[in-house]
Amino acid sequence: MASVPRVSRLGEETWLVEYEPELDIAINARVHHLARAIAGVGLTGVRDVVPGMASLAVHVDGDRVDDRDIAALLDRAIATASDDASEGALHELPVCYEPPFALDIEDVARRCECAVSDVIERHSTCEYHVFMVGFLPGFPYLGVLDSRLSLPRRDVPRQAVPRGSVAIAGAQTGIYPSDSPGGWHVIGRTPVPLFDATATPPGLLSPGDRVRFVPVPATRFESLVAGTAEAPR
Amino acid sequence: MRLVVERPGMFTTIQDGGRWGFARWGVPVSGPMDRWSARLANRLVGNPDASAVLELTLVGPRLRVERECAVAITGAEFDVHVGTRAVRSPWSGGVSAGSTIAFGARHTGARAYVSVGGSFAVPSVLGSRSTEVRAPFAGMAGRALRAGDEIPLGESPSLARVVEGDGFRAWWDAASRGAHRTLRVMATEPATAAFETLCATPFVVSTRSDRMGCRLEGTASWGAIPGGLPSAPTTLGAVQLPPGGSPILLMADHPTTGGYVQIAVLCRADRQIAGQLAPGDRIQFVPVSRDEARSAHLARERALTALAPEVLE
Repeated sequence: MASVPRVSRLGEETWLVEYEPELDIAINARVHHLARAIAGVGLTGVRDVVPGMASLAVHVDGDRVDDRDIAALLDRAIATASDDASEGALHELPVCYEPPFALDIEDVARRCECAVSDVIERHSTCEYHVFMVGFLPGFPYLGVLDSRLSLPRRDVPRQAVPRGSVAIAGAQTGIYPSDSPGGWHVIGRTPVPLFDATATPPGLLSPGDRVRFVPVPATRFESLVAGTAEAPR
Repeated sequence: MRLVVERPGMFTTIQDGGRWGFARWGVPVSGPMDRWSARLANRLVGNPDASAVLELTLVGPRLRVERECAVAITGAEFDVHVGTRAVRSPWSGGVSAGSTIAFGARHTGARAYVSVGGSFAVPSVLGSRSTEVRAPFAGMAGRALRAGDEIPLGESPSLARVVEGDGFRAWWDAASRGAHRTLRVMATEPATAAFETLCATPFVVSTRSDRMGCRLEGTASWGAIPGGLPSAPTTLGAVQLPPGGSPILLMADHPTTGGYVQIAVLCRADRQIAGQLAPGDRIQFVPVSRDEARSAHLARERALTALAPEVLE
């Protein structure tokens, strides 16, 4: 039974399609199907189609589109969107959960009342779904995190979270693709670049993709970093 | 031939028509904060609207051109020395090889635009020359200009295409004055009580504002502000309401998504005014209907074309 989303306007040049505001893989999969269907039509004046957790924006050039054409396009796409989440590409990302990268892992273990090895196991055994990419170019919102690792954000955000940091907050885990301020708990780091403006597409992970984290020791991390640096573009 | 940056100004970046099509990877649109003035600057020197220009903020740079070229300065009003001439922007005209363009005192607005006939030949990254400062990439290596930077100039169209200075002064005044610091907004759907509060409260632009967002301070009684929402797409001009109660008006570099409730969206016609807000400015939001917003937008477009006709690629 397909859920019926709400369609509304966000100002003059954005249309919003909203499902129930929940962190739910089936709802999110529907969002991605819808995004592909809308973008695939290639209607003149549609500038961008942007998925969120449980909603989607269609950005248009108000001088080049007719409201009725957009409304009809959305109606058609909504009617056919499926909630199959098994199609996204699977990425295996090495993560070093050791010092000096795992800035908050001991604190996380203490607050979750488990061993550091339990944090690593709980974070790296499941397959994650890329709900969306936002906040920073290439920053993936991954879920659903093992509920035993669920913590609110840090009380005081860090001024500088290093690029590649793998972090958790609430029911989600994410990766900082560039040095940035941030409020999530950093439990490891990946040597794999998440964003490259010269690549097509520029983000390693696309909304709807799937991710597995593979724990690696610090020695392996360093060699992977070196390999990344030397690899031809 | 290049444009040499002798003094960078406070925060001067390269911006063009913006970067569309990559928001699903978290890439912001960017582009000029006051797009209308950037388009005017381009038209005055014979460039297409979306050509790359310099956007300067509050304190302007000193620049030197290595070849004769058409130059236009629009947006915020500054005293400017162009070669040996003392002018007040908006201004456009021919500049001889080796001349400097030196910005002095600022009079109104926050951001001025400098266009050069033929534009700047910096690489296009993901379809745009606009500076993305967080990733960072494009423009001048994804950062604000520094002293000593040399920006390659594009192929110059004929200098004869420049629209000379005095002719558009009165038009610019007529197009820019009057509506200052009143921002017309539409409620998000369904409309909230917070929208009423937004339009009933005077706000001051915070010093913590930047190209991502204009942070607003005021003494509004919002009632309960929804929190813990799943991240959702945002849009240019959206007014976010974080749990702390200080609204954020989303500007050119705004993140593609956000987790705060969005209560209003600025109408297209008033993006120019928002892009010229400086810390300490007082603003008042007023509701606008969809039809009024459309009429206002068309009037702004007509005003632009009256100043200078569009240049086709």
